[in-house]
Amino acid sequence: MSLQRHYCGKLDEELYTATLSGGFELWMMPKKGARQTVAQLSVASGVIHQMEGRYGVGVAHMLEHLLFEKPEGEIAQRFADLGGDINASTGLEGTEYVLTCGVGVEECVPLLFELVFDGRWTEERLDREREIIASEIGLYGDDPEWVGYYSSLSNAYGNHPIAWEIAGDQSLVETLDTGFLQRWHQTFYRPNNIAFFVAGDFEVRGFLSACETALRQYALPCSPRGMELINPLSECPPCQDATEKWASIELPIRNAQVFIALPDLLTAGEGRNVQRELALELSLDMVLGPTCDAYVALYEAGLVAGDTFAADVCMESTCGFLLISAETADPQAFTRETFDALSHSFRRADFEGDIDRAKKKMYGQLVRSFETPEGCVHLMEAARQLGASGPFDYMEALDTLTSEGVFDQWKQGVGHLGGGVALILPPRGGQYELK
Amino acid sequence: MKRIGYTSSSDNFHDLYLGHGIYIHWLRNTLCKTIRLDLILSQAFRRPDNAYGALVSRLGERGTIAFPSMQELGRAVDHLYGAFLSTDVSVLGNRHFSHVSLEVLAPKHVEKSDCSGLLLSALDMVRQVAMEPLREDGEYRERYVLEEKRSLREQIISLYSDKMAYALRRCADEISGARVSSLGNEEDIEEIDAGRLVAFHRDLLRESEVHFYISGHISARDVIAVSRQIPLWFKATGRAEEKGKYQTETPMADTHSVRHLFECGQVKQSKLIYGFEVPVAQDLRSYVALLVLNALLGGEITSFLYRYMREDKRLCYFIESQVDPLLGRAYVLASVEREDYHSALEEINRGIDDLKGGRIMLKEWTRTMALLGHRIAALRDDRDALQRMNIRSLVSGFPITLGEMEYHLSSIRLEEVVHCARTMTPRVVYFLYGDQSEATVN
Repeated sequence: MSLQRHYCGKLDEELYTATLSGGFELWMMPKKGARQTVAQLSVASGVIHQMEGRYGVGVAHMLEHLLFEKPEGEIAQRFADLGGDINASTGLEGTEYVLTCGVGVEECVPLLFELVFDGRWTEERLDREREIIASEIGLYGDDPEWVGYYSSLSNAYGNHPIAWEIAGDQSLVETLDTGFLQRWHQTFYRPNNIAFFVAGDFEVRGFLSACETALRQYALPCSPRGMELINPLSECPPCQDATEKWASIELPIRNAQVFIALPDLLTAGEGRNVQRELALELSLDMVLGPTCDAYVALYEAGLVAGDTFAADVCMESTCGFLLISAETADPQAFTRETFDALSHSFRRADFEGDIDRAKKKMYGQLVRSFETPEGCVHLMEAARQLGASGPFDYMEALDTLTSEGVFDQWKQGVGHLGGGVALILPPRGGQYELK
Repeated sequence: MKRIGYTSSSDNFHDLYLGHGIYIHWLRNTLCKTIRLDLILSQAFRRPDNAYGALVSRLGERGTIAFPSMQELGRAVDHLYGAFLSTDVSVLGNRHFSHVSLEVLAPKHVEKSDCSGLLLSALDMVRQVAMEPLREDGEYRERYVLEEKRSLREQIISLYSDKMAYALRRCADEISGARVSSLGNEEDIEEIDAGRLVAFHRDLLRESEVHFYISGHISARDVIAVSRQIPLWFKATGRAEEKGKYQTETPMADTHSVRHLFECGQVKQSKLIYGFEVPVAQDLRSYVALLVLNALLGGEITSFLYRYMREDKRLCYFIESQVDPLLGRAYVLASVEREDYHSALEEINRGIDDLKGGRIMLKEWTRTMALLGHRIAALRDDRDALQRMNIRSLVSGFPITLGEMEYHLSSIRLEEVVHCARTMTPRVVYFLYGDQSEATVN
C-alpha cells in the first residue's frame, strides 16, 4: 500500500489516495478546521450491473435498505450514538452510503464497514422492506420531476436500464428472495468493488489505519472463486433516430412541464472523461445559458415559467446525456424553440466569441465546489467515475479547453439531436397538440 | 459605530449598528473560498405589499441603469469569475424580507490583477440590483413589469406540482386563517398598479431596516470598506435617524377545536398534514426545547414517528415533523395510502401522547441529543444557516447563537420538553387524497 499526495495550488487543497488490501480504494481530502466531515462508501452495485442474467434494478436498492437492518436493530441508531448521520442512495452505476459527522470520523469507520459488509437480515425484515419500498415507489409516482426524468430517458434510450426506475416496480420487488440478494451482496460488496471518499477534519494516517483495521475485520476476502462476473455496460446505446421522440403524461399539476433528454454519443475509441464533461457544460452554457439569446427569447416569449428552466449535463462512465427542463404554458412551443436553438448552435464562430466568459464562469463554479466537505466528496466521486486521477483534474482540464475543442465535442456528441421528450401535462392537457 | 445588544461569539455573525436603521453583520471563515454579500431589507408583513416586494425583487434582476437587460447583467456577473447573483423574498414571523445576494471568489483564488477590484465590483453590483433598477421616463419598463408579473404568478401556481408542499401550505393557511406568502397571492399580483412600483421601491429603501451581511474569506479591511460604503448608498433615500425595534406578535388561536379537512386531489399517494399550535418561543431555552421536541417526535430517524409509522406499522416511507418556534407552529407530514388515514392519525397521536407522558427511554434521548448536537456544531461552517439564525435573532428579540444553543442543549431536561409537548394544541388535520381508491374517509 502506498499513499500518494496530490496538491492543487489554485485551490490550496490536497488529496491523498491509497489502494488497500483487496483493491479497496481510498480518497481523502483533509480540511483542517472544518466542523463537518463527510465520508462516502461507493459500491459498484447499481441498476446497470448484472448477475445471473438479471439487472440490478430493484435489487441494488432493496439491498441498500436491508443492509441498515442488522439482527441487533437499525444500525442508523448506532451512528446516531456517535453523533453521525447516515444516509444512502442507489443509482445507475452504484450505491452510496454517506456519513456526515463532526470531528472523530475515525470512530465511525468500523460501523460504516459493518453496515456494508455485514449482510445479515431475516425473511421478516425482507417482507417489511417490501412494504416500505412499495410506499416509496408510490411516493415518487406523484412527483412530476421524477416521472418526467424517467419518461424522457425512456424516449431517448428505449427499454434500457438507464431509463428504468431504480427501485423497480412492486411486482419486481415481490420477486426478490433472500438467496438471490445474499448472492448479490457477496458478489458486489467486495473491497475491489468499493471506493471510499472522505473530506473534513481528520488525520490522514489515523484514518487510513482505521480503514485497514476495519477492512480486516469486516470485508469478505477477495476470492476469485466467489466472484461472479460483474458486467457493466460499456456504453448505453441511445436511439439512433435523428429525430426526437415524444411522450405525454397527465398529472395533477397546474403548469405543464417539459423534459428533454439528449444523449451524448461517443465515437469509436473515445471515452467519457472530465474534459468531455466540462466541454459539454461550457457548450450548454453558451447555447442555452441565462445570458444567451436563445434563453432570453424563451423567457421573454413567456415560454419559461418563473425560474424553472434548467439545463444540466449528466455524465457517468457508462453514459452521458443533457437534460433540459422547464415549466411552461406552451410545452410544444418550448420544445420546438429549444430544438431550434440547439440546431443553430453548431457554428464555430459563436463559441469563439463567448468561450472566455463561459470559462471564467466555470472556473468560479469549480472553485466554489471545493468549499465544503460535501462538495469535495461529490467531486472526488465524479472524477473517479470518469477515470481521473483526482478532482483537481477538473481544474487542469478547464485550462486546456479551447473553443475549437469544446465546439468539436459538442457537435460530435449532441449534433445528432436525437433526443427523448416528455411532456407532463395538467389533467386537461388536451389543449396541447402533440407533433 | 456601536455594537448592538444581540452580538455574539466568533462562531456567529458580528453585528454593527451604523445608525439610520442600517446594520452590518460579518463573519470570517478562512475555510471558505468565496465572499458572500447579502443585502436584506426588512419590513412588517402586509398585504399586498408582499406582492409588490416580490415583483420589485424580480425586476432588479431584469436590468439596471448600467446593465439594462438581464443578458448584460448576467454577462457582467459571469465576468466576476462566475459570481453567483440571486434575488428573492421571504417571510419570517411577522416580517417580510427582500434579499439580494452575490457570492464572489476570495482574492487568493483569482488572478493577481483582479484581486483588489473584485470585491468592490461585486459590492457595486449588489447596489445596482437593489437600488438602481432600469427605469424609462421615471417608470419601470412596462414590458418587464408585465413579464415579471406573469413569472411571479407562474412561480406561485407551480407550488401545486409539489403535493406535499401544497398540502402543508393549505394546512398552515387554515391555522392562520389567512395566506402568509412571501410572493403574494395570484389576485394581489394581478392587481398590482405599475404606477405605484417606483414609489414602493423608494419607500422600501427609505423605510426598511437594512441588514448587510458580509461573510467568508474576508479581512478586516474588507469589513471596513463595506461599512463605509453601505451608509453612502442610502444617504439620498431620506432615511430617519433611528428605527423602532421589531414587535413580535404572538398569533392567537381563534378556535379550540380540531378541524379535519379533506380534499380530493388526484394524487397517487395521499398527503396527511397534522398542524398544531405551540407557544411562540420567548427565549432561547424554549426555542431549543421545541427543537428537541421536534427531533424526538419526527425530525430524526431516531424519532417516535419514524419508528411507529415507518418501521413498526409500515404505513409510509415518508414521515417527518417540522416546528417553527417563532411562529408557534408544528406540523407532522406523512405520505400514506388513503385507507391508512385513521391508522396514521392513531400513530401520530400515539407519538405525541408518549411525548406528553414523558415515555422516552434514556437511549432514545441520548441518541437524539447526540444527533442534534452534531447538527448544531456543523452549522459553524454554514454561512446560510448562520445568517438565518442572525435574522431569527432580529425577529425573535432574543439572541440565537451557536454557543448558547449548545449550552441549552447540553443542560435541557426531559421535563422541559415534556412541558412543551403538553402545550401542543392540535388545530387542523388536512388530508389530500386520490380518487383511485374505494376506501372512504369520514
